Amino acid sequence: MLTVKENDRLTRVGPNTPMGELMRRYWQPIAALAELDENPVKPVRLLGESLILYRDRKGTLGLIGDTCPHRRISLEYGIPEDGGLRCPYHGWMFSETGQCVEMPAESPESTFSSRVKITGYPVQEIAGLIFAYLGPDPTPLLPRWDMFVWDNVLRDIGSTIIPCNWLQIMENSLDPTHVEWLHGRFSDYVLERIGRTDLKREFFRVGEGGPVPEGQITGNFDHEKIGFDEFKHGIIKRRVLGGQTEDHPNWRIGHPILFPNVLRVGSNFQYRVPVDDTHTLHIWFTAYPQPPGETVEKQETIPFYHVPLPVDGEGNADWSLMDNNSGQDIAAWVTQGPIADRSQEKLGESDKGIILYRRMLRQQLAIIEDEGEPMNVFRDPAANVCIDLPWEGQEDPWAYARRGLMRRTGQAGKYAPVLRDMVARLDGEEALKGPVH
Amino acid sequence: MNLQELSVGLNVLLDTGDLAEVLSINDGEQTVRVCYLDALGQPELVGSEVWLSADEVISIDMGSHSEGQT
Repeated sequence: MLTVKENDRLTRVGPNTPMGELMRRYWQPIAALAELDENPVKPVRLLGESLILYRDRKGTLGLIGDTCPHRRISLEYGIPEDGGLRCPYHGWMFSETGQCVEMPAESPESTFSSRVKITGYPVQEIAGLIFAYLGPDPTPLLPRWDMFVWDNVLRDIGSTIIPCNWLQIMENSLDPTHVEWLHGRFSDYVLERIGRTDLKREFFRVGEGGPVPEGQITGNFDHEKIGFDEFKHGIIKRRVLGGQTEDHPNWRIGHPILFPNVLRVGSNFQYRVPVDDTHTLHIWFTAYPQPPGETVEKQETIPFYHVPLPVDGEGNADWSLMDNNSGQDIAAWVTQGPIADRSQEKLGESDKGIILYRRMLRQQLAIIEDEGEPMNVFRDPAANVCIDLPWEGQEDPWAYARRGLMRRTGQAGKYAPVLRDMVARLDGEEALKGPVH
Repeated sequence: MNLQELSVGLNVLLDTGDLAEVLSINDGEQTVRVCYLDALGQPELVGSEVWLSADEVISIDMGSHSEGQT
């Protein structure tokens, strides 16, 4: 339980709020590069600021304030040109730094434009994902996490905006036991509701004990033991499931939560980017290992997909969109309210991961309040060539992908185009029909 | 948490995320008297003593590692 004041401190992300200041110390993903192929100008809201992301005709990315300072119209319909984004109203043009570089209606001798500058933030792209940095100088390095730089993988990127605060989404990742209920019992109930009881996950039932099927990684199992370890990039989450031992990679290796707002599960990153206090951009970035001996070409474009919301925040649900883990998670998060009221919660021992994560948030807040550098801010290029992370599938990525990732129930796999292609190629088109299960 | 697992002198994690030392245990009323060791949200609590409900004590503190049955 938190006090109302402490709940506000951990959840609110606007400028000059404690958590907003912490979040601004990190590069935050804002869009897939492929999203700009259809329309090179995209309104973006990040940490309570309204901005415009664009790619100009030279390919330069920019992230600038969303309003032209001249007559205050939106730059949403700005014209991308060779050296920036031009306001459609009177032609003022802004470079990626936010500097006004042209005012066509003013006299050629005028120096007015040199004195007009709007917000401009650094942006960088890696593996098809565009990141922005809204924090103080000097700008840190964009982290080169392992999945961004792996060779011989295929990648795709999905996203949606969820109408709730970022913290309740992140806390889900420190809460292992929800898996057996929300993604087990509730998942079966969803299949019942949509008339497909034949697809229920019968292979392992909560509380029945017994051996986990050989090689099984995900499914309806009971947690016999959960554990959490702080490590240099965040928290490692571990679990012993029914029939498994501490020798299993689920416990021996576990998977990381990267501070402050990323879950890495399997070969998937889930970024929970605060749009504002009550909306979160959720991004699924997946790198798909390939079968042994198979080589794939580097993708020219990393495909993008939109993940539909199963609930609208007003009690309207589409049950057919809750047959997958992300649909189930989103439904749960939204029903916690725009900002979960932690002054009314009752936590038990199985919630210790959530408590540890909140402690870590508060410890890191204290560091920046003392003008220190929080964890996961990278300055040394030599240490940022490839940042390897522990994950359960690291000893045999393809086997892990085949048993877990390729079931399409996990993450937002139901909608992922690269995964669909791989399943069709390896298991046939039939495997893509009907609800995922 | 189950008070039978606690003893005087142990450090415990509270549901607020704060750390405290167990000073005494009242099994009958299911309460624990603790002294705050670390209260990141309210540092003024550090060193203060208070009776808490057993439900407000989440687990025995294990430092940077934590585990338990579910």
